[in-house]
Amino acid sequence: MRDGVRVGISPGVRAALLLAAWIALGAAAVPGVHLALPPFAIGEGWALFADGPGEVRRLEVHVDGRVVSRTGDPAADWSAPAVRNRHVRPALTAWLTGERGPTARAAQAWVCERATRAFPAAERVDLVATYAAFEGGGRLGEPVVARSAPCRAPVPAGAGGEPPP
Amino acid sequence: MSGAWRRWVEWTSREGPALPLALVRVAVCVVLLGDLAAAYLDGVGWAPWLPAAVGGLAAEPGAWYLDRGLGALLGPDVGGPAALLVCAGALVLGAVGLATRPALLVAALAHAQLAYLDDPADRGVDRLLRIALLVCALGASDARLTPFGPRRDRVLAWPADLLRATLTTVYVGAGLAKLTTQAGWLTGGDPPVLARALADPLVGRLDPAFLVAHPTASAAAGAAVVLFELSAPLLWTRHARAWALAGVAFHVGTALVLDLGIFPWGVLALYPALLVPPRSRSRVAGGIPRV
Repeated sequence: MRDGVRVGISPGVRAALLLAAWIALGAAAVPGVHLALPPFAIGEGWALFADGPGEVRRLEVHVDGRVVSRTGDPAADWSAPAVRNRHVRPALTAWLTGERGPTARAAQAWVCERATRAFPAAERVDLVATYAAFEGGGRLGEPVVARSAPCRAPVPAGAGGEPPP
Repeated sequence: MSGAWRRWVEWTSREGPALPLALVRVAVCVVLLGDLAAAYLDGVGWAPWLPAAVGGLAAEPGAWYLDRGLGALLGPDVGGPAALLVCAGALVLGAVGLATRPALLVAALAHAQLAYLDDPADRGVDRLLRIALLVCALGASDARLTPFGPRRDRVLAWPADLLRATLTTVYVGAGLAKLTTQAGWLTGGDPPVLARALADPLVGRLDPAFLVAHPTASAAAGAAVVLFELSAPLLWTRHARAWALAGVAFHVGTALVLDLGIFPWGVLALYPALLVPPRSRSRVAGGIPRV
């Protein structure tokens, strides 16, 4: 039936199912509690925007040494909408915050390949992570170079190191 | 049957206006469609839903991904786009109200498959919207705002109650997470936590120098955000409308100062459910079993 009332379950059964759903929702409010319901991937963790970053993190794309893209810099905004899109940004942010796993590597390679397509004459493409204090005063530590063309080649030893603490 | 249980059965069997749940249905579908459209318009294409091995961003498809059968069946470069097209088509059907309930179920399932591929980007708001899709599929969200099928003005109110409970959980959980993660949300910090969040060039639109120069305002706003979130149980009181208006202002403000994708709009998509009174004494539908 259209009204969602007479679909074959009694009010008592419906009430029992809803009670279970409410208990699950209540438990999910506790930090660190995650409830999964595959295949719907309903893993509840509501740590929405729990903390602010400790430093100003930026991703730069260098093509033959020239900065063509820098996070938040309108003067270097090549591919900014794509890099800032919420389906791309988390993987790049993971790299900026220290992840060195396959997710970060895939994101780096993807950006690198976009750059090599956009600048076909380029001989070198670098992705660079920079860190600065919110209070100003210049960079924290050395920039971290993560990937150079060819984009899916193994990362050289010493590259893609850890960001400053 | 105990008195408490009987009251619970009566409460979950009461009716409310049909329009709010229909509004939630349409808004959720539109927000999710907008999210997929934004990926296309931003030039991202299929990348988040293609395995890295074929040039995409999906490093490791999640454990489910229809038990990885989708990719195995259709090919690694087809499974993700196929799930996306199915999801988008189901969302369109859900928005217009054609084959609404199966469409919403398919949309939730297909969107979850996209989440297993695009795992890093699957955030709380995505899970919230999938919950809403399932609630709308199980409830009578198709009673209004559709040219297909008969119209009903009153339906069972439990879906709206469940969405209200979900919103309460989301806000309280977010507030508790802030307190347990960084006490600086209340005490300020140097610079204040909120200032650092707003000035983060990855998502923020404000000038870090301005925020750092006004730490008191940032600290006060941060504390207000936490208190606002922790006060979400007011949604169950006579102050619900006022709280909801504050929530609308909060999310619109968030959209103005932070580039968080669909987050503010995704949460606001559930707000029409707050138009169903939680303590209505309207007539009970479906019949209540006698003790």
